[in-house]
Amino acid sequence: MNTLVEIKNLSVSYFTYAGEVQSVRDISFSIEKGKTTALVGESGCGKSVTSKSLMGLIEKPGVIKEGSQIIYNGKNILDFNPKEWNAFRGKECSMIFQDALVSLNPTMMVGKQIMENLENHNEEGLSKGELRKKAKEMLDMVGIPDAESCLNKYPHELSGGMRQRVMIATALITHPTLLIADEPTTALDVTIQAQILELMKDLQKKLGMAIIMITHDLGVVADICDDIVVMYAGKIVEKGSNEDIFYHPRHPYTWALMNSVPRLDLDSKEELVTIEGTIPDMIHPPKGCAFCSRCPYAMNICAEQTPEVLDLGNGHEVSCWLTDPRADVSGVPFQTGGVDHE
Amino acid sequence: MENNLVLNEKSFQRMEKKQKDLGVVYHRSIWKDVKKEIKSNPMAVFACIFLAVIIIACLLAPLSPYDPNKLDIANKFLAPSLQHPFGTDEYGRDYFTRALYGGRVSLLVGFSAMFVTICIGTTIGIFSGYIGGKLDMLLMRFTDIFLALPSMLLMVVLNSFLKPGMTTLILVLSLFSWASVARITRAETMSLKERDYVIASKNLGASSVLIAVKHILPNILGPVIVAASLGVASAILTESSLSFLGLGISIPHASWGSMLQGAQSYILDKPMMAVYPGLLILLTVLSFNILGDVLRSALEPKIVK
Amino acid sequence: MLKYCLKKAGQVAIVMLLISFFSFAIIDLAPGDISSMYITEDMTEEEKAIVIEKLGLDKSMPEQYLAWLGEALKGNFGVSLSYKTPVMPMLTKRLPSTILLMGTSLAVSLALSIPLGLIAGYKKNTWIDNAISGFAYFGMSIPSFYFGMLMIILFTATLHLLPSSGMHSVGVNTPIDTLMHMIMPVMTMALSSMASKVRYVRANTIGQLSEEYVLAAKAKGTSPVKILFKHVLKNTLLPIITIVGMNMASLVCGSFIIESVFGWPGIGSFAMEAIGKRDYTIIMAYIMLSGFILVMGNFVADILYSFADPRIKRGIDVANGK
Repeated sequence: MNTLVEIKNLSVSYFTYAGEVQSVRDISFSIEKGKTTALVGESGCGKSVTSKSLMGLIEKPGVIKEGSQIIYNGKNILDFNPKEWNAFRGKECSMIFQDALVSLNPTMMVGKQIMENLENHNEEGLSKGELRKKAKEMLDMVGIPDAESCLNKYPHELSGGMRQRVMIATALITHPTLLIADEPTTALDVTIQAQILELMKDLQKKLGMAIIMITHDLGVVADICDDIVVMYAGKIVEKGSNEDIFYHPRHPYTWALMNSVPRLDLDSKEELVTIEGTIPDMIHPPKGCAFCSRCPYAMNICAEQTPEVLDLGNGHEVSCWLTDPRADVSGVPFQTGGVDHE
Repeated sequence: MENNLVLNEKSFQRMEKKQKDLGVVYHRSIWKDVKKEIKSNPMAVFACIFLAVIIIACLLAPLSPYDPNKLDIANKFLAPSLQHPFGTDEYGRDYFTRALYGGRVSLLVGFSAMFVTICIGTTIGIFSGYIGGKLDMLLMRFTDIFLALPSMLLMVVLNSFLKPGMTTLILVLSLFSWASVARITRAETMSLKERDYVIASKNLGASSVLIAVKHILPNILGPVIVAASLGVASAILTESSLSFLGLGISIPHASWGSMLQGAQSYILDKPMMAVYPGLLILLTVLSFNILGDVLRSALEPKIVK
Repeated sequence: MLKYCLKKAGQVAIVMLLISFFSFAIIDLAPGDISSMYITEDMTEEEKAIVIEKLGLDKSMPEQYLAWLGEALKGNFGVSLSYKTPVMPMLTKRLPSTILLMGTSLAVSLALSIPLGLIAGYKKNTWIDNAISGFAYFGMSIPSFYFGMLMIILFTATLHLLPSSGMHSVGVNTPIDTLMHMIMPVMTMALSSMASKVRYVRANTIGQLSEEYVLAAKAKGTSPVKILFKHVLKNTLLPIITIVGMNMASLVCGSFIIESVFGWPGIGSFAMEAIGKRDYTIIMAYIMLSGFILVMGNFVADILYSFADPRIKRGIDVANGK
């Protein structure tokens, strides 16, 4: 397989007023070259923290725990020194943030902000003019009309969709091999969302980078992602291909998540599922399965012991007691047991 | 399942009852926050201790064996000694006793001016913010003008033409400092009056006065306390400047500022006479400023720390 | 843009009018008869009446004010009661030394407070931040006249390094001599206006550093130093323009006190003297002059700010700010 990044046993904690918040608890997954992987889950489940770890952007009071590894092209990037990080960030791996308005410096012209990324990794020694030309090309590529004049505009003079395009242009101008998109469409309205997603798919084809898409919007996931990682309370509960997760969910949380949004391909009479309750307190994470308190099929053991990860083949992995042959599976609406879709 | 947990038949039965996840309740009250904030900051601990000592010492000033105003020319300019910790001044008066009496005046002026300032400012602020509309606009214009006035200049003019004295001083100080308090309380009131609980009690027929006093006032207490602490500091500072210029408390009655005015004439020969009262002003104002900042970070959590 | 300038200019005029009216009213309502300073026992009733008429004291307060205002608008602030000469030339003669003192102090305080605030904010909660913040606390808690006195005690009484008062030594008129005389007043004045600026720059730097765009810049591989100087600096310093404008008040009032402490021959110490003599024409002229400096400072700062911040510059007539 063509693995680009392998995250191994990543744990991140934030030390706050109230205590240690265990945002990410021992997660492992990998990202394939040129593919799109989605990180899905509710707010606060640790998706953003995971992506920030990849970029080395965890800041105090956040700490990446001992024993965590992120292997990129054979190197553990968590061992990088600040200089190596700066060479990595922006060049190898770029990031698009959720809200372009606050992620762009309000008092710096757009062109300068795009060029900054290239300037930081200017090994070829390009001149200012060449940098500018590249920035303009990139703006053309992301579909901004009249790119030349856009270079001299300030962020507040652009519309929301245009700003997000500028962010994408900034991230991709260095042709990174990995692009992290942290909820890139959440702040936009629906029609613009579709345009931006289309643009990202298009650019991925042209430039061939891998994308990590962080989102809680399953529509986005279904549309463009190859692999899906479902996170809950700092842990991965299930991961697999788009097909696996959407059509053969094996974890009650995944199942509920998939059935909580209206879908055109499902029977319209089917009721949408709601997930009762709220995510657990991450300062005192539960002993057993974190989803236990909200799971309608929870068993006694769920509160006692964390279920092991079960590999169902083809990269489909799940962590749930319902896969155990001894489990009480009465009334469970999705497939259980240890074998993938029979 | 290598854990030493014993799996039994029950393990795989459905859970009987969902354990209610109540979340964690952090017991945070205003005073606990303040205490914690002060304890975590050595500067704040120092400020509190210093203020306590200075206030108690000034209150106990009459216990001093010396009369602060009795002249004793034979003993003028004595060096500091056990009998006279700060020495004596140009008229042979015990300087330490005078400093304590001066502190009473300075602190009294500081606290009273703060009190009047807070009363005026909060009343206008709540009134303006709660009633809103044209009245609010008018009052805020008025407040803005007060904020734009060169207050120190006008204070100097006022004090030089009014009969000098403590009451005058307190009123003049408050006259020029209520405006910023009014601004803060107005802004807070504006946001509070849109809260559901205020609207609810309004719908239940509570009178405006009742709402203002029972619901709004307690909730703007935080910023007001902060403003009060910083207000004492600035009042003492301004008082000392005015007294130093001879426009505040006049000699022979002393505040720390007027003691400095007196000391100025001897500054080249007897520098310590200027050092003591000034140091007291500095430390007192410093303590109130630190306290104000600590209170701010305890009571206004939005502040970036 | 023009509309904005005009609106601001209108505000300046209103504040100036208010200041003048307010001060005039105070002086007029103050106990003690101004004419008593000019009337002696041996004057006849007729002579007394002439003096009162000359002073304009026979008219009502609003009439007096309007008369004064009419003349003031023409630049005529009347004749000093104690010196018996026109006020304006006396003030303008002393103005340059005050401007010199204020300007230098402003420059010094800016030159020191911006880097200090930036360092403190960047290195927040380290020993260097604690030292700088402690210094700022000190600056804002010490009465400026007292700091001046301490400087005199140290540099004049103890070390005999610097002259304690005036602008020139007797018979000497060299720039070095003036500079020596300036050091202490400038330091004193700069200290008090530095404190607020340091605290402001620090808080602002911390605020800006926690903004999302800083994270985004970091994600581009921008080094911390570049982030500080290319991104944060400008956004931190923009509001400083406004702060400087607001600080004009402390400069003007500071000059008033500090000139008295150091015997600096500017308009502040002159006005102080006039207050002692109850020379109300000088006092009024001084208030108007320093009030004008102050209000103009605010005005210029507002205009400059709107030019410097692209968000305001291009959207001034739209709703302001966020």
